[in-house]
Amino acid sequence: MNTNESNESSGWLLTAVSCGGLLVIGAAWLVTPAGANGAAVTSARQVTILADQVTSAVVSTEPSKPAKGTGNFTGIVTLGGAALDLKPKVKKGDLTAKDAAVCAMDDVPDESLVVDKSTKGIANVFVYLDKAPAGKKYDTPKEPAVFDQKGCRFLPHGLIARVNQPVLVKSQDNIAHNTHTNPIRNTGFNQAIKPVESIGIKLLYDKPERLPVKVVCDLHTWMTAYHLVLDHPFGAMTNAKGEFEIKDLPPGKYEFIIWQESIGYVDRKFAVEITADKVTDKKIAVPAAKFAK
Amino acid sequence: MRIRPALVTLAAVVLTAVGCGQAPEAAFVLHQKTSELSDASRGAVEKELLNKFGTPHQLVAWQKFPFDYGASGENLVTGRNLYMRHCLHCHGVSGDGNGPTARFLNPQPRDYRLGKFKFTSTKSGLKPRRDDLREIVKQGIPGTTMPSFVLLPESELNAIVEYVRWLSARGEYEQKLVATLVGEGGGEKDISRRVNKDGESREAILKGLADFIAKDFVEEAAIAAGDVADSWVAADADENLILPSIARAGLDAKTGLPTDESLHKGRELYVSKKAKCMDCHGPGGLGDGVLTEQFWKIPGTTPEQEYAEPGLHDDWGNVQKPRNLTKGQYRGGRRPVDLFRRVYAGIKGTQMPAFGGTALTDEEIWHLVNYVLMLPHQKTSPAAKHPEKPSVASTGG
Repeated sequence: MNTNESNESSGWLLTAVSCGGLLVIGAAWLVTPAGANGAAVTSARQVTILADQVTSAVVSTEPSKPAKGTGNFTGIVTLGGAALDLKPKVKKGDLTAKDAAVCAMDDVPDESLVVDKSTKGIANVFVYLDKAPAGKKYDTPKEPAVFDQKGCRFLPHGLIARVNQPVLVKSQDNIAHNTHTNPIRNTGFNQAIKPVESIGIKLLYDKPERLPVKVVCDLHTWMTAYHLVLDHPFGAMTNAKGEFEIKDLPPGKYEFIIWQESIGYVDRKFAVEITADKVTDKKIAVPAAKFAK
Repeated sequence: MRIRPALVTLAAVVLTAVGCGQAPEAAFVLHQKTSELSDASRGAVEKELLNKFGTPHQLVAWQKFPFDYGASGENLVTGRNLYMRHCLHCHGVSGDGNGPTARFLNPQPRDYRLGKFKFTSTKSGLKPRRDDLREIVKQGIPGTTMPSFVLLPESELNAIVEYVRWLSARGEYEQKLVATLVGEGGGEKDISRRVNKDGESREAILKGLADFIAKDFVEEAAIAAGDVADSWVAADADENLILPSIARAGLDAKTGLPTDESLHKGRELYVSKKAKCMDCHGPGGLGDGVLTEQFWKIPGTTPEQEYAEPGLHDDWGNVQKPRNLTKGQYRGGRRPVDLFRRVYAGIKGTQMPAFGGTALTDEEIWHLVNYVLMLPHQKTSPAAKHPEKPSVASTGG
């Protein structure tokens, strides 16, 4: 298991360096959200540690250029104030944990608020348009998205799926899980997932959702994840450093929803004006008081 | 607008003519969540419901929904009249499961407004077929206070089923409208929090809401109604009916009883890592698994909150005991195929997940069904021993 993880981590690091540090965001809604999400958000805890190393290696990050006639929206969501000290939901080696042989192989971190030490960036924040720009239709990505489970933890913790894009629910754990959603518009999903489900059970959202859908496992009640379902590509999730990038927006005025799982709306209508061939960059600070319970 | 205003004035006329004096006026009540909206938002929901569904005296047959209203809506009227006589004591005028008798009952009568029904023959996550609802009304639900209405003629059963579907659609439509408005920030508590904690202006918030209600609400409501209508159509589609791909497995060719081998397999699956039945139902099938002892989170709460009581809860927020499988009482029907469907598609509105097509093959489900049907007839339960030679084999109903 450890070997496995370090393999994964180094793979991640390579990806990180090779694309110049800008990882998850663009990929989260690109034509293949599956691999991108799956690989990059493998483990936010690992990512947090690694990101520090990456920062020193990669001096500056060149934002990618928007396609001709469109604009990009980039930014960083940061925590204003001290980060909370969140205990792991399951401690490594805790034999009293349910299904400890599988679930306590490693810490299961509390991902309700993941903050990067150096940038103060908050990971797993959704930034998206509620609806597609008027009158536009966007093709469904052909590649399925992958939603995996390992060490009684959902990987990735947050995922953006497009309407009618299959999400393959997999499991690397040698124990059953059940993947349970209760969406507002779509049909609820509550399927038992057998141990080591490598092919993946198809979960299909055929309607967009306004807010991210919470995903739980009733057999391991600490397991949570969020799926955002959009019928357009203009949504992103912040990476481990809190950064996001939404590419190729038609020029115009937009109101973005910014949403974080512990507090809900960070902003209901974050106004942004996009100009052709330009990158609009915003810094969004969330006061730490908002997270106080 | 595809509204066909109501067809029913007769009942109102009769009721007025009879002049029943003190009897309270039958009225649809608002969902708790609706009453927690700001005034304008609540008003918008009330108006929609009144326009599309009317009042108990003046029903509206909104053709958006794929229900059999009869040529001039007489099915709905018949269904309503029968419902008022037979069902409302427990299920309430609005189908909210909160009739006058409800407070004395355990389990609570079904609140139709979530659009969820537990015992169906349809695939995971889907609503019941008409047949499923009719069967429940006809047979009752063993182990609950839901009685059998088997003596009613078929036509009356059908009318009741149609009216229950209508009530459920009305309630689900209401919930979806509320969810839309809550999403727009129309919840009164939410507004107060934003004004008092975040320093936003109340006027600005209300102005934004008023704009939404004036401009976008109609379209959002149409989408919500479409979603509800689609789900009822899907429930009755033949491809969504669960039919086992193989005949009941594990039966002795001569006696027709489950073989020891099948019962073994069933037991092994029951305690296995891949089915994990005992996490909820307990090692001996008593419904006392480890998951019944912990505190559960309330779904849909941000930040997360926990229920006050330990134990599994269903989507209606009621404590939900996993079935004690040693009692031989099966709420959704006791035929082997009924149990097959419970395992295949899970139980809607509960944590019981669907195993069919994902974790278990149809053959494995049959072994599990054979084992579960044998449990009440084991002499020593919860012995949790392998049933090497079960003294009484299952007959399976």
